[in-house]
Amino acid sequence: MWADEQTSSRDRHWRDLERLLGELPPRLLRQLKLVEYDLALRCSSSGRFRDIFTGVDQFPLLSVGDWLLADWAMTAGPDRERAERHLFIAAALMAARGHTIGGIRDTQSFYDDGHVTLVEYLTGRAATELARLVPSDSPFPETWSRPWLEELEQDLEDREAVGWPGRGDDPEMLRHGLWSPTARILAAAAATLTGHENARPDVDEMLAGLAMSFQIRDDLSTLQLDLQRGRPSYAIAVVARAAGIALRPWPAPAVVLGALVATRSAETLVTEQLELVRVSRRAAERLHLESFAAYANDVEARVDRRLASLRGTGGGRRHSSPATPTRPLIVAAEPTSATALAMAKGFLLADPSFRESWESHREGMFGSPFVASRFPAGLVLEILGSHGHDVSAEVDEFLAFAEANGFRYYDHRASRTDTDTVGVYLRLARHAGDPDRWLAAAGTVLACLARDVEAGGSVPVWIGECEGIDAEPRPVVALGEGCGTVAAHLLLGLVDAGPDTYGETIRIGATALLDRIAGVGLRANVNYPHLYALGVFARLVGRLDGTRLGSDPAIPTREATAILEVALDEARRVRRPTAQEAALLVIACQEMGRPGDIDPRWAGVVLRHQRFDGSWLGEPFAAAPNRGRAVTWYSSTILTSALCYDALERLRAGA
Amino acid sequence: MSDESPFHAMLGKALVDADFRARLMDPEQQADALSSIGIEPTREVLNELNQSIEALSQLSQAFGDEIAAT
Repeated sequence: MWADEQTSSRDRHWRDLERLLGELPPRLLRQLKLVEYDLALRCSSSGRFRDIFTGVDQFPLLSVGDWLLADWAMTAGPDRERAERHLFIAAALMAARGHTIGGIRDTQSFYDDGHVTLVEYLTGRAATELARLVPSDSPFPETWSRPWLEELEQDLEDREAVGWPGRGDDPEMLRHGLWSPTARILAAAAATLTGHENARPDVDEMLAGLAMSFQIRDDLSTLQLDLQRGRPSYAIAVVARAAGIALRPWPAPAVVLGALVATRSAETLVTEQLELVRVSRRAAERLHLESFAAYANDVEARVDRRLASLRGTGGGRRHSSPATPTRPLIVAAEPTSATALAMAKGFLLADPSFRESWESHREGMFGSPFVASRFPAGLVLEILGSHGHDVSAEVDEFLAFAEANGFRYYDHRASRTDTDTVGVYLRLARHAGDPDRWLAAAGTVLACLARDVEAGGSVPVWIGECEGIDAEPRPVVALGEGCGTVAAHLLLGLVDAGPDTYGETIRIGATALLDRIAGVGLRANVNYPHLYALGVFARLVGRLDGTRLGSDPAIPTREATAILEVALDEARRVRRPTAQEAALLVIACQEMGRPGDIDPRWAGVVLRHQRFDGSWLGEPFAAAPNRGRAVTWYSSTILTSALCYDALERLRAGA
Repeated sequence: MSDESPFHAMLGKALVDADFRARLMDPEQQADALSSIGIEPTREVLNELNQSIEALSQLSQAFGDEIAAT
């Protein structure tokens, strides 16, 4: 009976809800659309938005108004239909609001503070629906705002509890059902409309008990996920207390899962769940709330069966409702970062040429319809190699092409030989099948480079004429000269290839570069994002420390380091980093030897922006010519994804 | 056991890792399974483990994958 009423009510009001939501402007609608999907996956068995809060497995949030108006015998007619409609719509909006707020707070969800606008809309619109229900002089606004204020206060209390020793360990601090305040607000409205204000305390208690019963079920369901994410819940606190486990510092997920087994706390929790439903059912019977009583009776049978199954006693209370729950009591969860890393690896290794990352020009550079630089693919290979992937075949191909192309930046004879290409070539050689063969092949260009470094007193971006590398006589304006990051890239390559063999070139180049960094900080970088340059500079300083040049008093390592420390302090203040910026901050902190300064929110930003194919959207990485003499930002999905992957791998290794 | 954490971690691993659980539940492989994760299979540990075996078995049946969304 209650199920038929629920379906009938949904069918009557759903179109009004759809119409209301359909009027949202595009950006809000785009946010809401995903909330609809997520809410449907969370609160319906079918995954359809129109089925939310329907059936015996769901808390009956959308039915609270209808059922109470019916059970409290509000006269059928236009007024009741109107009231039912407003209560239904308000319930749906408040549910979406509650879900969105939870998503914003979960640093590993796909929601962020950009969704605050949606929360604002949902809050305001739900309040409007409720305000339309009752005369303006009714005490209802003050009445219904109380559960809402309690919810807000509870939320603040929960947040504080996370950081306070002792408080977050107390199960009672976390013992509240997510849907309870909304249900009580709806009940308050129904009570006002039907003159049942006196029944409210009992109804509130009945609804709170029912909501808590579902909360225990949901807490158990997400127990492993919550443990992995460091998200306190009532169920976790109950298990921890039973086993004498402190929740600060946050315990290893396996320890609490094992304690769940050893202390038989799952049984304790499902027993509590059953008792809560039972008490609510009895209260509903006592209050003559027939719809609630019938619904709670079916829920009770469901939970009873679950408990029997958990105890291995079979059966449970005989009942006509659908028997075995199909959802596991505890849902298996992979740690978010492990899943994200596997996805990123899958994406990065999908195309061994990394062609999307090539800096490809179709605007007619050098009078050619297509010119490309494979240099960014070298950076991607370097990241993959540094994390232990066997990329030797891809590296061999990259190095062979670089050598055959005369170490030019672009694959055109008019392009000049380029230090960045030489640098990445040297750094990749150790990941190649035969490193010595490749290093030997770079002998000529390295000699030219050493010549230019000695002549100029610093590392150039573009290398002068070099024997054996023919050049097309065509005047070009070569951009980016003087970039310290390019110099650092090369010096890192030379340190990799042989700090003694190339000692003099490294000494001259490092002295000039670090002196420049000590003078102008990150302005020594020309071509790349400053955060990227910061990590590269820090990496160079670290690598020089490991060579005899590290103690060379002529190289201003200490002065440059001091400047980089300040630059990192300033960079850490960024308020809303993009995914690539967050990744570069993680990398910079690690390269600076300051892993303790990594803000945990940066990992959240990186995770939140990963797409389902494992990639991240490309973000500006280097300035590049476009349509003649204009310059625009080069960006690549593969390169940004590699940087995000690098950061996540570093975080995993450091965890 | 004075510090229950390793024991709890072992049970937690058994809950989520079906192969490890199967070895723990096999009396002939139990000791090896414990040793493989660095727990000495003393009589005390084995007793404690066997007290939790039934609960582990029951709970493992209630532990599983969420239905995928496609």
